[in-house]
Amino acid sequence: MIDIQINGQTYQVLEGASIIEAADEHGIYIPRFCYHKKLSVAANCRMCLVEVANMKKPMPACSTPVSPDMVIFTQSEKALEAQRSVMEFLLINHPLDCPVCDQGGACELQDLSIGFGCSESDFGGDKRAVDKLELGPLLQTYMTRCIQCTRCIRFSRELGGLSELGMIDRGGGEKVSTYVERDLQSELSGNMIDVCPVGALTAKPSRFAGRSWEYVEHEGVAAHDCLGSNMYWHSSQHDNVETREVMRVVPKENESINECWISDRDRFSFEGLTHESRLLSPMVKHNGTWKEASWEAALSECADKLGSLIDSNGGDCLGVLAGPQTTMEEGFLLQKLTRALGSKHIDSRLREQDFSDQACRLPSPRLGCQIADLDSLDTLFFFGCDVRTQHPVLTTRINPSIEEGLSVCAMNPMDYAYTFPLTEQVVAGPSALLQQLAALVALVAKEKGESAVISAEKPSAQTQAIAKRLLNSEKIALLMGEHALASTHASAFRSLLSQLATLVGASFGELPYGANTVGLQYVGCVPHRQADGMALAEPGLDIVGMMEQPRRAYVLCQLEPESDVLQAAKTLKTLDEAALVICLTAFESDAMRQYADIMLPVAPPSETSGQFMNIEGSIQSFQAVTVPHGDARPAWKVLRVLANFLKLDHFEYRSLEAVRNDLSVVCESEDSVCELPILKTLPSLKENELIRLAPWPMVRSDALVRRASSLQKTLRAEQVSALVNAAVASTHGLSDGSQVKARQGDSEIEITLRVDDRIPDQCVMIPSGLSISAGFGSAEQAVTLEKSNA
Amino acid sequence: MSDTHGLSQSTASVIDVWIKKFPEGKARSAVLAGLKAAQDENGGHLTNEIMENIAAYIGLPAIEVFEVASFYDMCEFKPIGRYKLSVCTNVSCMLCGSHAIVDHLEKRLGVKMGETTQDGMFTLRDVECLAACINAPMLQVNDRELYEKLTPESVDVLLDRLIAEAKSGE
Amino acid sequence: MWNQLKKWVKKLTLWELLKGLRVTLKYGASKDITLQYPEEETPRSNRFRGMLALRRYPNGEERCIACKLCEAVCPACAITIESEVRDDGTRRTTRYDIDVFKCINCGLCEEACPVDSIVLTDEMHYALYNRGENIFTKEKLLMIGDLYESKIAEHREIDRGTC
Repeated sequence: MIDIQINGQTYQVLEGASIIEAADEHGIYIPRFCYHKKLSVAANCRMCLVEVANMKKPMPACSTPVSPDMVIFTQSEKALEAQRSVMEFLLINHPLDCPVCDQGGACELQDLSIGFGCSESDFGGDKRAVDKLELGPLLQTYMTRCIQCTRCIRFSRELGGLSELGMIDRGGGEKVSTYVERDLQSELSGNMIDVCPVGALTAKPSRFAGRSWEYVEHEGVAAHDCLGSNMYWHSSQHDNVETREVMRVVPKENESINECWISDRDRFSFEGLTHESRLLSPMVKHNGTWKEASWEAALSECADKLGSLIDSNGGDCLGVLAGPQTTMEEGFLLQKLTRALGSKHIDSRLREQDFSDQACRLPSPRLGCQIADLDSLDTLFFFGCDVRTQHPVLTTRINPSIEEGLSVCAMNPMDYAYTFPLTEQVVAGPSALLQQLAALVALVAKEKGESAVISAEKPSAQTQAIAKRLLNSEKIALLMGEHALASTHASAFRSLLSQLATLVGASFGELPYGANTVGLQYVGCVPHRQADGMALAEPGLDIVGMMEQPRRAYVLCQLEPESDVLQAAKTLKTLDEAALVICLTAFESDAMRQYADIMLPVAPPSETSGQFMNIEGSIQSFQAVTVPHGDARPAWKVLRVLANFLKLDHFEYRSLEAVRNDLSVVCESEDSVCELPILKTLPSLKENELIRLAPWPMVRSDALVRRASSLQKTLRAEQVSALVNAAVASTHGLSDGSQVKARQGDSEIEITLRVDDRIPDQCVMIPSGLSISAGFGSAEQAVTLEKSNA
Repeated sequence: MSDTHGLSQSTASVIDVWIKKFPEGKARSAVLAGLKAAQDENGGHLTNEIMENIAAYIGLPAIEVFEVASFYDMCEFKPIGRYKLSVCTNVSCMLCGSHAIVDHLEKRLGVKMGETTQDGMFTLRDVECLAACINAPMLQVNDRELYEKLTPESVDVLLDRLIAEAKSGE
Repeated sequence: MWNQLKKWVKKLTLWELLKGLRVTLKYGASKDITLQYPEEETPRSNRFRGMLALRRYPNGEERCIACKLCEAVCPACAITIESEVRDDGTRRTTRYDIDVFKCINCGLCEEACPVDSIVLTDEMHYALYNRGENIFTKEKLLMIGDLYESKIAEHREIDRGTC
């Protein structure tokens, strides 16, 4: 720490900090455009000029480091004059179109022009104009407004990891541009809107829809991935009605989670809230035709039908599934209701199919470390994890860490297009992947002098390189991604990875899909544990079991089985045959009209209050932006009243707080120690089958985001096609661009085939969650491909 | 680096030489040398393909190569004439009569600044200071040779010589 | 004695009455200032703040760009605007409602407007006969603007350079 003087006051600041960092820390404002605390220093806007004693010229505060006893004036005549002049320069070419600019009212240039500028300019010539840049369906550009601060370029390079924008030409003709005009590929492109200090980059979906001063800001938690990024909903009110409409979403700063970034999925999914398929009143099916009903009628029908089924067949006939946008309170009520009705069959792990080690797992999945810890690792090891599309915000931590010496290794079922370079990577089909992981564990155990617990094949060169890297690193995190969790070998993967973690002294964690998968498991929406975390001696049926041993009645809370579960075909068939299917849902779909008997409209994440638990285990609560649209109600109210209709005791909650209090009392389970079984032999692996990899594209991951229209336009051709490598294509006699039939048991779809050598042998990638792949087969299982006749 | 990513061996070796001159991890410093070598080889202008190849060879995103190429005046993106005449129109040259030189060139060649003659012989460019103010006005041929203390007459002599040179070269 | 005589003379000649009648006679003889409204009207300033209107450019394009500054500045919250991207990519209102019951004719909207779109005409004779007519919609406001354009332009010309 050193002493410096700013505006006559002495402060203690960190040595090596820049003047602007020192000033920010003590709440002294210095105007700036190009400086952003999360980006590298460019010092090209010159707005932050300050006077430093004994220096002839004003110095840029962002790139001048403090030195002991430095005397700085941020408001002296010299500093202010310098800032006024810079402002005048910046405005030479900036158009005065603030009235039509979406940034107007929330614009750094406007603010600083008022605060530090001058109302007159010595320049009177023509302003320059720059052509618009087409950057895709999410970003609207007005490059004439650009002041060349390069924040967007630095964001895309340093944090986004994709160098998509650059500064071309020079001098007065300098402009931000792409190399060839094409849509941005980044999953984080929306953050460029936030870093842009002017209106050169604005959000296309909320373009011209309103002005920043009419919006009301509501704190929220992103509802699409397990990080729990903090954000703000911005809403406005139309026609003096009670309901408010979400107009845009912006990040909320939280250093320990998302810093100041959110993914495009979190930012633009709000468009789905007003989709035409939004269910706005309770619907009941009578003799195959759907009719609107009052809540009273719909709920009493639910209670009657469910009650009579349970009376005649016992509580065991009920199966319950909860989707990941269900809040903790809703999950708590749902499992309480299920168990009060005498059923143990409840599950929220929609994208898993190997539950053989569930009794030994943590009550709810964990990252194994804090999200912020990822900044200071030596080695990060991903196993079956497409972190770029599934948890894009994590890459904003990984990319800058790479510069500081982080090395990332991965073992993946395909060569994912990460935005950061990998030090070592193994790409192999599911069975070979298991072999290589076992080989890695055996190799590391041998090097550590421990007796190998598993016999494995010879490790490949890359596996050996990964072993070497892991053995030579201090701080390591192992992360098991959504692909590994969805695999039929998930328990073997988990066991081997936790062994590996113990051997190399690493943290081991999971990255499951969905906003509240963690919270739902915590409150007991699993068949093998109660809300208090106590394991059941006789667990109920998990999601796979529920479909293999069909129940008579099902309650589905906030999910669309045709697109949201791994075993879509079997689930649809079982639901079709069930006597009663009650859907608590914000959106309806054609498939749902088929299998459901009663649809109850519940509030999507913006219209309900509640809590999500993120992968670190921290519980974050949020308030509803508005009263729900139409006749929709928050799911916790629906569940509470449904329980009353079913005449169940202990459901007399008067408010959400009452549910929350009950939850916090009941679910006060200490984290039990996770003792995973040690895998001794590898599960028998089938060879010579074509295994379907079934990742969910980022914009198809849940019901809300599937309905966000602008995001859908970002789907690229390779994300909606079946992918195989050239070898597989030639053995099947298929060519790039041809239509193929993919078949799995009874279900069959037609899809365009593309040859992509990122896919290993014996694998075909057919994305889940697409409208064409809805209800198709099971993920991560064998499929056959044949040429389509059509 | 045995794979030249579509670049010729000679261009690739120029880049290799320049990469060695800079500390490890600073390979991007070789971009300009690579662009110049590739442009000369391609008859005076760059194409997207060349820039992509250089980017791939050095291991940079294409936009970062394009940034450099668009910054420097000597990088051309369209086919140009055999001789590029870069006439300085900056202050010193202007005061010493570069307007007369420009007018004369435009009249003699029948094209405007920035254009190429029909026969593909000359391209006219007005450029900023080329650091020969002491002998203004001046022009530069093909980014290499400087011709100073110009008068319309000496320009004619120069043009005649270049035309003769081109003819004898054919 | 003298005073008594003066008093009696005044009493007998109805002096006080004559004195009162003098005012009457004076005004009876002077020029008439009463106006026969509505047949006759007092002159109004060119800055008179009367009925609201939305103007167009000479080529027929509406001026309003949906910047919502008038909505923001209106002290009576009388203006409601909704906007969107028009097919040609420009920013336009889909709705521009003014509740003339709420409007206090303060003219702040006119002052805030960066494109001289919303103006207060000098028209003061308008009446409403049905509920709901108090909401002046965009169409109505533009129609008023079209009808009064020449007058508005004339008044702006007078005002040019004076403020």
